[in-house]
Amino acid sequence: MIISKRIKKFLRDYQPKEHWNIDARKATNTFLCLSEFIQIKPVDFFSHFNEFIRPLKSDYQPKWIAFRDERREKHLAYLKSIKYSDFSVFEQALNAIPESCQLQISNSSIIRYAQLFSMKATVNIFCNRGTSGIDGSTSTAIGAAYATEQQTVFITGDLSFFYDGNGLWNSNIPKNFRIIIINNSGGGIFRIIPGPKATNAAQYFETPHCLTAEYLCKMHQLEYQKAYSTETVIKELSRFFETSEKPKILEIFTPSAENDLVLKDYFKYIQ
Amino acid sequence: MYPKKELAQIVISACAQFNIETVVVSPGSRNAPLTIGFSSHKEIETLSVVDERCAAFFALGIAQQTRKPVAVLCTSGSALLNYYPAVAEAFYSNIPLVIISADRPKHLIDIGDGQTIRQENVFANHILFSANLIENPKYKTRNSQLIGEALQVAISQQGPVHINVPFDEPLYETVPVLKAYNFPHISLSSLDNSHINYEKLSKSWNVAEKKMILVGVNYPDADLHSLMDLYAEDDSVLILTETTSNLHHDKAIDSIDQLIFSL
Repeated sequence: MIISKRIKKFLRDYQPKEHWNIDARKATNTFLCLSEFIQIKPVDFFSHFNEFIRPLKSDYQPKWIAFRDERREKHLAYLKSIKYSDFSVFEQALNAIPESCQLQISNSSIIRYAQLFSMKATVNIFCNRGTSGIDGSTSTAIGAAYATEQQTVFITGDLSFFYDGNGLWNSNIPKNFRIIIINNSGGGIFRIIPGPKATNAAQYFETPHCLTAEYLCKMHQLEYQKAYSTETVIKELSRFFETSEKPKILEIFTPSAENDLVLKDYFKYIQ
Repeated sequence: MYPKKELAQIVISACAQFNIETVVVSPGSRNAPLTIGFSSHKEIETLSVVDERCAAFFALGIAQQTRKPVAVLCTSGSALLNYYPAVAEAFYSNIPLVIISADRPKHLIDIGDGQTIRQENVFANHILFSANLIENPKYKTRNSQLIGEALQVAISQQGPVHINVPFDEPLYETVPVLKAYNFPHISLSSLDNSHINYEKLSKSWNVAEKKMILVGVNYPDADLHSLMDLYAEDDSVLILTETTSNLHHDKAIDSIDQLIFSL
């Protein structure tokens, strides 16, 4: 499964001469130009195939790696310049998570933000991309946390979190489980994608709200922390991963009216 | 304490034999024979989650990590339909999830009984196998075969299966022991890789000046990682890794969306 809509669109619009899909289970014609379905585990394919191929001189990889490095620098420079928003909070959260943990990510805008950051190689990352629904991310993360020794951190948007609020109704949540909610008071994705804002029904897409997770945490007896600025995020994150008797939630409130502008400007800036 | 009902005994015995280690149970009466039996079984861990939608995703999260089938058990009626979002996710994400639903016998469906809907094949579009059992001693062999096949499919094909188990009343009668039943192990031919013509593939690979390896959702895999070292040495190969690929490489592009803009 491929997440990036940009690479999907790119490869559909500018189709490669050949597309080989290597998967042990089923063929997916994601770019509408599938030429070979190779039914095998990727690791097995690449280890066998290695015996048959030879390298070729080309400027293809060096050119794109140079391009990547340029964009990475711009990415870092942009982060230094921006104000408090989903984007800045996301960076703070990623930097703060333990060196070795399992990261569960909810769907919609959170996974889209995640795609813009380089991840620590020691962190294992999961997201329900089979159907990409927002409906069960919290419950899935709790199941994964229950099944692994590693500490599990779940980063979620507010809509996904409240949608699966009953996910916390579970007496098997490990003590070291951590949830970071980036609460931008509605479905932020609908402010990011073109379309909804230009209609007369924006509120039915974005579904703005003033909900907080505080009372849900009380009801389910989780520890609750909240933050609403760069400084408070730093402060709360600094003690968030300390060992505790109960699982914890950190709810970070971000300004809904500015998040989409910060993201739009990001793409202009790094281009 | 185990259910007196033979069909319930068969289901529990099959789960134990196929090494189902965890059953997530949602409350209800129609599933009482199975709830009683599973919670008594020493080799099966039972976890209680009330909301079926959450229960199924919780089970999915466990199976996502262990890559072994996890079962969910619910009562009859709309309870079962709340499993559907997780069933679809398991179907497209290749996660072994075993749905066990209690049901009423056929003659009690659509005649005005409570918590009764048409449960057979209810996940037909997003399931690898549906076992519709019948509570009647004369169908014992058929039931056992269907259960065995369902569990084996979940394990070998890594995806969701549904076992629908109708029970007539009484539901709470118990016996002290679980009998041993035998389930046929269907021989499944393992994936045959001999059809892959590496020679032919290498012909077009070796002349292509631009080759992109795009890695989507993938479990962490140290072997794949070290193989990518070899491929990354080739200047004509560009490796793109998505966030969920769990693959990191110095020469990979890991933030694809930073690079692609509409032209």
